[in-house]
Amino acid sequence: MRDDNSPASDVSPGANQGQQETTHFGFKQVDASQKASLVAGVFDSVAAKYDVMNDMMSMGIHRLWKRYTLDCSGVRAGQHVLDLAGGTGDLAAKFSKMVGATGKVVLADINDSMLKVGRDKLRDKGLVSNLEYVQANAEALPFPDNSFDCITIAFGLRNVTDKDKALASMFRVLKPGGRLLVLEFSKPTNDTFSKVYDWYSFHILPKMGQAIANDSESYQYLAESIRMHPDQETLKSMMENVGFDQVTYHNMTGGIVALHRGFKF
Amino acid sequence: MPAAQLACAAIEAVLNALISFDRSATSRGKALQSKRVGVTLAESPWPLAFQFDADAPLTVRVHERVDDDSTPVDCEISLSISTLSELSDASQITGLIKQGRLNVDGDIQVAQAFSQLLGELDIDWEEQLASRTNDVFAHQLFSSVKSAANGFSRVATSLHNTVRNAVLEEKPIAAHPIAIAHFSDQVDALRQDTDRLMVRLEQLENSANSPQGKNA
Ligand SMILES: C[S@@+](CC[C@H](N)C(=O)[O-])C[C@H]1O[C@@H](n2cnc3c(N)ncnc32)[C@H](O)[C@@H]1O
Repeated sequence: MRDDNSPASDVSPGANQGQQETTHFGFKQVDASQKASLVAGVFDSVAAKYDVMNDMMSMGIHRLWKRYTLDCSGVRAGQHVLDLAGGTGDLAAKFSKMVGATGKVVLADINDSMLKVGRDKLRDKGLVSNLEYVQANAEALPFPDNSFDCITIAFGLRNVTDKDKALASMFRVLKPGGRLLVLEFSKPTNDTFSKVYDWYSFHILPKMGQAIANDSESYQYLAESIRMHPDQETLKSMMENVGFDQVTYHNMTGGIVALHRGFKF
Repeated sequence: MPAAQLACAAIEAVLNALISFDRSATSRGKALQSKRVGVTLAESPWPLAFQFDADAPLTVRVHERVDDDSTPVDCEISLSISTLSELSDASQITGLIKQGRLNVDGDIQVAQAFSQLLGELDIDWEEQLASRTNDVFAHQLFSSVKSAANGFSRVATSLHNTVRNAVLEEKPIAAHPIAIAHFSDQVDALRQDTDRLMVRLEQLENSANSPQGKNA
């Protein structure tokens, strides 16, 4: 039932012209055109409890993964940053401080509910002046070419229907010299650890989702979508294929997540 | 687990909490606003950066400088852990540099402000706790903690002086882990020697007090 070979691309084109393109939604196969709204359904339902669940599920470690992402961003005062699939704005909040009054941070997400939670949270933190909120699909970014010094997409790429298209779109809006950072769940490097992690994801996680957010299905999707996401090397070559240079990745917490970094020159 | 990030998060949390508890720190730290201080500890594998935010009240972000981080710093400080405690005395900076125990590149005033901030963080813990619990409890707790702390600080001061002398007389300055292990072995040996000496003294005393000894 599980497909352990991660597909290089999310979308598998139908053999015949007339056939629908399909893609996976977790372990299920759905029409490619449906995936976005199914994903939207998931994040609509988790938006309010998203931050709490994040802390619970990762035991707070997601904060360290994000910290490492910030440390690798090389972002400084005056720069323009895009936090794509930014959701509730953890990274955007930090970037806002890093770029200062002369810089700009755009928090973009396809989902209005997530964006709203993010906007409220950042406003409560007193962050306003250099932040913009844009509802956008990563596959077709509504920004001019060469707009950003740095783009981050944290735990977002997994949910995007056509990942190649999204990566190409990010490449386009990145300034020459700019960098893309993809923080995403990946493949644990150790076999035993991987078993424990599987057990945790498929048994504990949905139960936590049920108990805390009264929504085990969304968290089941989360676990499944993590398994379907391309592994470290596959994602690296996907980034290279759309034009990124000097692509490297760094495994964290035994490969549960990896941070990929690529440059546009 | 990203260990460097965990360490940075801890340092950052403690430092920001200290700054916010110490009301005068924020005004004193004005010189540090928007400044970036690079710190390299000889014993640590992670070069760190302390980035102070532009706006008041003063807050700092502490982060690892990952391989290609080329963000310029206002001031770069390199030192070893043994020098760290002395850094809090800003007037010592020039002395430490002369002794080669501290390296400062860039704006020395930023380095001074930085060390001053660390050294002068003077927090009224009792008041902090009282604002969270109640006065009587806070006072009682603090009197017992203070007496324990006094004892502790006496030990710490004498230890500090011993280390300082050792450090000044012998170079190189940074204590290698093997050297530390060797040092504690030596202390053990010394303790055994003194124990033996004590026994020997007692024996001598006893024999001196005995009539036989008097004759001898
Ligand atoms: C797991 S959340 C991550 C939120 C945030 N970056 C974080 O790390 O906490 C994934 C986010 O991706 C967004 N998303 C999913 N598909 C997207 C797409 N095609 N374009 C932009 N955002 C998308 C979802 O709405 C959701 O907010």
